[in-house]
Amino acid sequence: MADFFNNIWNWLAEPFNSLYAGSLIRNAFWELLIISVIGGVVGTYIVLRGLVFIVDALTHAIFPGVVIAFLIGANFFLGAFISALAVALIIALVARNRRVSEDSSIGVIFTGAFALGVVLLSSQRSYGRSLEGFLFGDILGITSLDLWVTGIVGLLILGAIFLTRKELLFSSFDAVMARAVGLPVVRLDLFLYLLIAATVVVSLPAVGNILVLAFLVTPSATARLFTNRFYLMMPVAAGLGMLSSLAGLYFGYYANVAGSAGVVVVATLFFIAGLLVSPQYGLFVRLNQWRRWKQQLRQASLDQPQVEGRA
Amino acid sequence: MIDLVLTGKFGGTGMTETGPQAAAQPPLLKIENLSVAYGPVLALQNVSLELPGSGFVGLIGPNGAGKSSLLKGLLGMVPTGGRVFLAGKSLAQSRQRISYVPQRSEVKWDFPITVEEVVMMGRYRHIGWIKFPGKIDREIVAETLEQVGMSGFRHRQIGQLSGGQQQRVFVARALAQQGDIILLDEPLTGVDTTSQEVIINLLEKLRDAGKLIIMATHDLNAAARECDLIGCINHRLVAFGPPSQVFKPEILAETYGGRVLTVDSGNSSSGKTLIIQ
Repeated sequence: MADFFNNIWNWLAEPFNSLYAGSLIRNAFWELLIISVIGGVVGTYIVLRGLVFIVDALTHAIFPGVVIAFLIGANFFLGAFISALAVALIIALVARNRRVSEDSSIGVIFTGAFALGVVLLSSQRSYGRSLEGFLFGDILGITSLDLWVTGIVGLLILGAIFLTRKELLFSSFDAVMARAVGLPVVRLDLFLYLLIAATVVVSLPAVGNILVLAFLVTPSATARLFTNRFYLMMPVAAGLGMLSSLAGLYFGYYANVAGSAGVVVVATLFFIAGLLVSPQYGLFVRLNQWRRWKQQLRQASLDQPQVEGRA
Repeated sequence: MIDLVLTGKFGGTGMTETGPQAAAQPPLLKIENLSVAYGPVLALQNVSLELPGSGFVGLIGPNGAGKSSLLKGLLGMVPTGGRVFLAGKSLAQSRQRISYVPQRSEVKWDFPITVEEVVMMGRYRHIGWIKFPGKIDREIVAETLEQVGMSGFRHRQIGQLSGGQQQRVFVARALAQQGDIILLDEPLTGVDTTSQEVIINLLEKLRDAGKLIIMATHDLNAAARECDLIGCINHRLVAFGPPSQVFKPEILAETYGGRVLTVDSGNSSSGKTLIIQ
């Protein structure tokens, strides 16, 4: 028995202790944990406000800025953040009175921006490799400097949300009333987009342009299936993100697959499981409910014959 | 849509006591040439009103006539021309004195938020940025929930309530704002009779406690019964005064664009008005 637990422990500890990749995996582990926490909190707002599509557009639109920073040898975070700011500003203004036609203009402009990034990058000789890095991130390439940047920016984001939690909640739930009591709703929206953009930017090196959306949205969407409390959604989402990250890392190590993609696959499995077993919205619960209703209905027709109407 | 109004004191014979009494108070809310526009569309033009420090004011008029726009204009939520004064001060200085119950449809119903948290939002401006709700805020929330009879539901998610219950929660939120003026946008529309009664009784109590209540409504019966003053709105202020002066065929015809049919039931002092839109 002791042997069995020993084996499990060894199996769990091995990736972190391995000579060849141990330090890389430890960095990846901490980076993913930090991203999970910020993603869980910021993602809660994204999911509840229905901003998933817009954030998707945002991540794509940042791409050309990242590429230009790369090409001229400027700092990655600086390039990404400046373009993210510009994009967040545009989106906040466009998204204010969102209608279908504006939906399509967001889609058109930001896939266009993404293509522009690819065009710029393709002028480089070995662009295939760097393109892969930009799109899917390099989870094992995370340096301790990256860790510090993510950690500090993450703390700033969480701190900013903590200070404005009431107002962000109000304008997210009921923008009309928030405006009626005199809250600066437009500026709050801009502020939230700014925080989302910052989250996206610090997550990019590890998880890349395509997958970052899943890190922000999937755990929060899963958390929504299990709780009806706003502030509970955040820790639940963060916890789910951490769990997915850990599982994804082992998956990556033992199955020798791409780490960040592994995390996303695990997180998606959690979401699907949530769709099935959620106590309120789950498929199983719904089926049960439906069966019970049918039963009741059948019973109602059998029980106590009422006065019959005949013509 | 058909509204049926039965008014006992029809024809302006019996002038109600509330009119002159209300006029004796100094104006709390002064509206000067208020116009509201959405882009090129002028929703409301040149409304001027002086309202006393307390009373129950009804705003009636057809759909899209600018009732909601007037309320939103009072709150500075829409582009406006003209000026609004509250006890001599500008709107920006005295926004905290106005409570508001918006139209029901404008909220995200599936939002994971409890009844109690919704009502607490009415306290946010009093609490201020950054700070947490205090004991007083929690007491006020409990008290207002009690007043609308929703204490037992305080931990429910807002979307799980019936329409009438939801409306009562929003009235509680407005009460938690503790304004001297309470604006309500169609609080009785699509609401069950129990909730209607709860809301109307509460508004009467507030009026008696010295608040100014301004309610936009489609329910002409309720307006005739409850309101001290009625404003008829059709992109402008058609008429303003106590119900006995306002509920006249020619005024209603002008307010509702001529689609009014008046049926006299023989006895001239208790006529019936049938309004068909």
